[in-house]
Amino acid sequence: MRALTWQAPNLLQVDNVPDPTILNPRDAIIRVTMSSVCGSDLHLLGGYVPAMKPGDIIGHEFMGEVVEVGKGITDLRQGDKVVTISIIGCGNCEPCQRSDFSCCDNSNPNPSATDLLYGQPCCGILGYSHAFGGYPGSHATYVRVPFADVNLFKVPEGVSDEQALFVSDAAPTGYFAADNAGIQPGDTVAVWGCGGVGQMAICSAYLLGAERVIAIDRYPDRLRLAQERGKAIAINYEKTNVHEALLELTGGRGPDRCIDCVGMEAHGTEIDYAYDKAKQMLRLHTERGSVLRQAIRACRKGGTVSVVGVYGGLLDKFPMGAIVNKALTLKSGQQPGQRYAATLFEHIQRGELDPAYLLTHPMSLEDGAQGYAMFKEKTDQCLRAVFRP
Amino acid sequence: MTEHPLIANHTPQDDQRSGTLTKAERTLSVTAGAALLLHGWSKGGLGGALQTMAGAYAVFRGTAGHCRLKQALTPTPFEEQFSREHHWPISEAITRSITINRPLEEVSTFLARPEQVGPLLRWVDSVEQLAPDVTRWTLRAPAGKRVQCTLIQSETQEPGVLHWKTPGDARWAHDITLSLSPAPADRGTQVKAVVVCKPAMGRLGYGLARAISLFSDKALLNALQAVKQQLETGEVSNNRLRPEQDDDFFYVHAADDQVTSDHPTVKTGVAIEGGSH
Repeated sequence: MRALTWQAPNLLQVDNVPDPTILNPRDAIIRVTMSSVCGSDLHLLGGYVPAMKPGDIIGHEFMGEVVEVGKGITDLRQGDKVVTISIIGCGNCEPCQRSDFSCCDNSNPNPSATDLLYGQPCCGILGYSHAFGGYPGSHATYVRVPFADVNLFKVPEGVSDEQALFVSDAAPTGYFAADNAGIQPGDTVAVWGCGGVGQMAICSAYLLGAERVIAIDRYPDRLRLAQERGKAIAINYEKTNVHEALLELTGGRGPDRCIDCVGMEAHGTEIDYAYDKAKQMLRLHTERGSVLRQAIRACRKGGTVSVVGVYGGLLDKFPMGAIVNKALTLKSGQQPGQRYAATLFEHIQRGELDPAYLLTHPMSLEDGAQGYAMFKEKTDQCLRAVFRP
Repeated sequence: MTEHPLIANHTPQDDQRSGTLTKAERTLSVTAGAALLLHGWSKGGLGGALQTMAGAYAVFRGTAGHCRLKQALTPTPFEEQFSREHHWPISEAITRSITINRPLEEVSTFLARPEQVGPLLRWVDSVEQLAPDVTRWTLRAPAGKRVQCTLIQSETQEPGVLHWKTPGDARWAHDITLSLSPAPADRGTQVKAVVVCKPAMGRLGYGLARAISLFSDKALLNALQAVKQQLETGEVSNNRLRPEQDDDFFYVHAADDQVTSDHPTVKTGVAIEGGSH
């Protein structure tokens, strides 16, 4: 089969690789019909996530058709149209049983890497480095999905492929961010980052009761989408002092809930960005924390900061003093999409959520490297390049 | 087994910090270090620079009164106690704990049969039953080598404890204990694995064993994780596209009746039927 493989930082190529096969009873083989780029892939491309090997197949947000299932799978048939949650849960361990699928104990075949990095083994993620299991990803003709009974969801009637695709990752990540924020009726929610996840976080914040959402980014087209599709107030951080603007919009209180959809490669205009960039280039730390610091500083006293932007390692100048002295709650995690898939499909069916607008650039898998370059540089207003293997 | 200190304790609670130098050691370190430093400084060149650095470290070590190397070569309180109880000259221990979301009896029954556990582990080639309580393990080692060891399971007086040891004449004596207890709030069973080896060559062997344990600790974690995966999900996760792609470790998967008829040549990665799923 054909697959888009990581060869070195910022070097991708399409290769011929062996077809996957059923290895475990709860596996399913999926013929990929659409597979999207994701902002978190850029961390792999940039070489910020260790444990990548040349030849690794990347991609984790996808949908397709069931080709074959293991003998332990009884509720899926060949030809079923399915979407796959990219963060793998087993459904049996204690975290999965309390619906914390992204904390799964059993889905990572390489537990020692994250045990060393983070103190305990973390879950497996399709196409997201050997630290997270080393699973081949979805930018390929076929993909083997483990624990298919837990991680595959049939696409229901009334949901288009373009809508269903993003129930794999962007939509549940945004929804999880908003859910984690503990939004109360009347709340003002600030969302940093207006990529695919940020757009879904904005929409989800309204679905969960926010009165007002403020979107922060620097790309005019993304801010326009946040305004038009998400009904958010847009702030361009290159043209506005974000902290002052947030206080101005909230009567000096600060946003009740702040959501970081950016993560470790944040950009900024202040001195801390230059500091982070220099230390990151010198490999003295791994994260650029401008957004997280800004969110913590802006958040109202007693508010919540919800982080779904990907952080991988160590962050300098973390404002713990603000967290303690403003009694903030900090919540984070990879998305447990299995918890939200049915709810998201219902919102889509009722017309309350339409993730299809995230898909701006459909293209062939053969153009994968070009798609990532376009996505990384945000050229041609690219929000999501989606490959059709 | 009597009450032991935590294996994580590196210094006895009522004693000074492990790795602390004696007065004589401090004096020697400062004196020799200063001499080396001065000699290296006067000599110059690469050799002189290295001597200067070594001398400076020795002076620092003697001044600070603590040596990480000495600490690394000092057995922990648990290891000291274990050595006394088992009449070993020195011992080196590693431990890992895991919680398995299955009842204690089920976990205990599974673990009590090494022939069930062995096939789950990628670094185990085979487990042969030599006698009811004796198994011979063939393990994969670096550079394509194979290592064999024999384990004898012994009865213990303590409930929830499984114990194995190597025969008395074994070249690399090992003692393995699995302690099982119910996890609070119905979270299944806590399994604490303690693997103790008897290194040869005293402190030097102990240091070598500690270096090796960086890898064996990882293997122990992977082993416990594989058992947990098997018992909780009915399978052991793997990341390959195809079974033949595993180019380093691959666990032998035996029984033909566990292989799907559609894929007669596929090793499925599931050793034992009857996981919880």
